[in-house]
Amino acid sequence: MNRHITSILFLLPALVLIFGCDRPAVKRQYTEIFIQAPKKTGMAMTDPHSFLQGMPQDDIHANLPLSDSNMPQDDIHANLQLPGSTMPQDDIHANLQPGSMPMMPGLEQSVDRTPLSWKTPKGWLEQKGSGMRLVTFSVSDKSMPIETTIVSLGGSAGGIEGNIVRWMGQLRLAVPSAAEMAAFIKKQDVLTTESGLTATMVDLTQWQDKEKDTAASMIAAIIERPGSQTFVKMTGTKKAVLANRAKFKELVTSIAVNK
Amino acid sequence: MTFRQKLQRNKILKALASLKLTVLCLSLLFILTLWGTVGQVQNGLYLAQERFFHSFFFLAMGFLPFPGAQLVMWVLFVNLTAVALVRYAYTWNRIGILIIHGGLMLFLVSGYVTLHGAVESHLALGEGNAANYSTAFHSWDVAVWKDQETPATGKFVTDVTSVDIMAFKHDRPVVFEDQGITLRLLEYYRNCGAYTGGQTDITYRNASGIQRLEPRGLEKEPGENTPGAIFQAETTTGESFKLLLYGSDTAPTPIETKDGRYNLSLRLKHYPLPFTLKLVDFIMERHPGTDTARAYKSRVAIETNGAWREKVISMNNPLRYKNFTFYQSSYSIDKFNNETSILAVVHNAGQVLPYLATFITFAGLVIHFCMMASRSRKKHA
Repeated sequence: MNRHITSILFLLPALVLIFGCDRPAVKRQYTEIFIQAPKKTGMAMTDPHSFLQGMPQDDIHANLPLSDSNMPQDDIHANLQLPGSTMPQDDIHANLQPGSMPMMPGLEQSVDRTPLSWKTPKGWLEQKGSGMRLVTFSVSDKSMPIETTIVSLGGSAGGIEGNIVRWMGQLRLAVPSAAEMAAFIKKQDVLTTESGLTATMVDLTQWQDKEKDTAASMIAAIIERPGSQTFVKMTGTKKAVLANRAKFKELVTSIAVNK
Repeated sequence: MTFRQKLQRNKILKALASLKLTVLCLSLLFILTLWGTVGQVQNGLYLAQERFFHSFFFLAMGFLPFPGAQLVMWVLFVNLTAVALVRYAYTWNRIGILIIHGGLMLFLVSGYVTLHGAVESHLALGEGNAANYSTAFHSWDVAVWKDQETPATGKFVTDVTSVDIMAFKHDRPVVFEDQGITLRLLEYYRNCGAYTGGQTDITYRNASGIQRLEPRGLEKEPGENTPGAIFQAETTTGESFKLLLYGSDTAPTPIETKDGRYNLSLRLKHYPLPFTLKLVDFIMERHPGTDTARAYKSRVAIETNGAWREKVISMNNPLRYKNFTFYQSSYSIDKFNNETSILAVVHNAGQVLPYLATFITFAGLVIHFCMMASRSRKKHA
C-alpha cells in the first residue's frame, strides 16, 4: 500500500510537468455583436470638462485625466469648429466600450498623426502625451516647474495670429491692436529645424515686462508643414519659462518628420 | 485485513489525518483572512487577493516564507480526505457528522473551481446599446478581424480570432491561418509608454504612427499597466515587416493579405456571452440638492431565441443568467446626458457549488443536532 501511495505521489507531478509544458497558442474564434444606438448631441449646457469630476473611479476610468489642468484645452479646442467638445477618441480611450465614451469626430479628424521625432533637452523629462498631445516634457527642478507639449493638427489650425490671441487670453494679457500684433509677430524669431522645417517662435514674456517673475507665462513655437501645423508650447512662471528658453529652442530645432 | 484497515495502518495517512493539522490549517486561515483584510487597505484588493489568498507562499516582512491560503486549503482538503479515509466510523449514528464533513470538503472544492474557472470582466453599455461580449479588466490579447465599414449607428457583427498575448513566444510564431498572417514576437513590455518620436532607423507599422515603446515599472493595480509589443509579421502576399501594437492605441493596424484587409489590435480580452444584453434604461437617483448618486440601477434586456426579456440590475440585486452574474458596478454620464452603465460580469460554471455546500453542511448540522436531541431525551426519559 505504501508503495502505491508513493508511486502516485511521484506520478502526479510528472503528469503536471508533461501536460503543463509547451502547449501551442490557443486561438479563440467568436462573433462579436455590438448594437450602437444614436446618441444625444448638440451644445452642452455645462463646462466642457465638468463631467470629468463625476467620472467614477473604477477600472474603466483609471487612466483618464480627472482635472481640467491635464486636459489639453488650449491648442486643441479653441480653434476647431465643434458642435460641442466631448472626451476625445484618442489613445487614452481606445479600450473603452464604444457606448461608454462619446466620440469627437471633428477633433479626431483634425489631429495630424504624422510620426515626428525630437531630441529631449538635457534635464528635461519626457512623458507620454495624453489626448492630442504627442508628448509632454517637465523638468526635474521642482522649484521652477514648466510644462512643454507637442501637438500636431491638420490644416491651418487657426493660424499664427489666431493662436497668439488665444494664448494671450489664457494669460489674461490685453490683446493688442492689429498693428501692434503685426509688429510683435515680425519681431519673433523664425528658426529652421534640423530637417528644414520653419518654426515661428512666439515669446509672450515680451508682453510681461511689468509683471512679476511668478506671473504665468508662455513661450510657444508654430512649425508649419504642408497640410498641418505642429505646436510646441512651454508654460510656467515667467522666470521658469525664461530660464528654459534656450532648451525650448533646442527642442524646436530638433523636431523632424520620421520617414 | 480489510482495505480500510490497511489504510488505517498507513503512517503517512495517519499523519495527514491528524487533528493537530486541522487546527493548524484553521488557525492559519484565520491569520491570513485578518492579514489580507488589513493588507488590502494599503495595497488594494487585487494585490491583497494575489498575495494572501491565491498564492502558495509569500514572503512576510520581505524575507520570511509564509504559507498562502491556497496551500493551506490544499493541506486542509488532504487532511479532511485522510480523516474520511482512516478516522471516521461509518455508522448511522454519525450520519450527521459525515454529511457535515462532506459539505466542508465541497466548500474547498468549490473554492478551487471558482479560483481556476471563474472569469471576471466588465460590460459598459450606453442607453440603447447592446453587446454579446464583455471585456477583461487586465488580460490582453492580439485580436484579428476583417476590416469593414463602421457607420455611426447600427448593428456591427464581427468575426474575431484572438490569441492571448502571453501565449506569444520569441521562438514560436503564431499563425492565423484563416487570415494569412504570421506573427513572431520580438519584444513585449507589460507596461510601457508609446511615442511617435522614433530613435532608430527602423520603421514599425502602426496605425497611429507610434514608433517607440519605452518600458516602465509595473503599477500596483494591474489595470493601470498598458502593454506594448513588437512583432515580425508576414502575410500571404509575401510581405514581411515589423508591426508595433500598443494597448492604448487609438485605432487597429490594418494589414493587407491575399484575402483582403484585416485589422490587428492589442486590446483587453473580449469574452463572448451566449446571449446579447441591451441597456434599455439607466436610472439614477441623486441625494436631494446634490449631484451625488444615492442609488442607481440598469434596466436591461436579454435576447434569447429572438425575444428580448427585461430585467433590472441594481446594487445588491445582480442578474444571474446561464452561469453569468451581472452586478451594477458603476456608471458615467457625458455632458450631453448620454448615460452609460458599467456592469461587472462574473462567469463561474461552478457558481452553484458554494450554495450546495452550504445546504449540505446545514443539512448535516440539522440531522446531527436532531439526533443528539433525540438521544438526550431518551437518556433522561
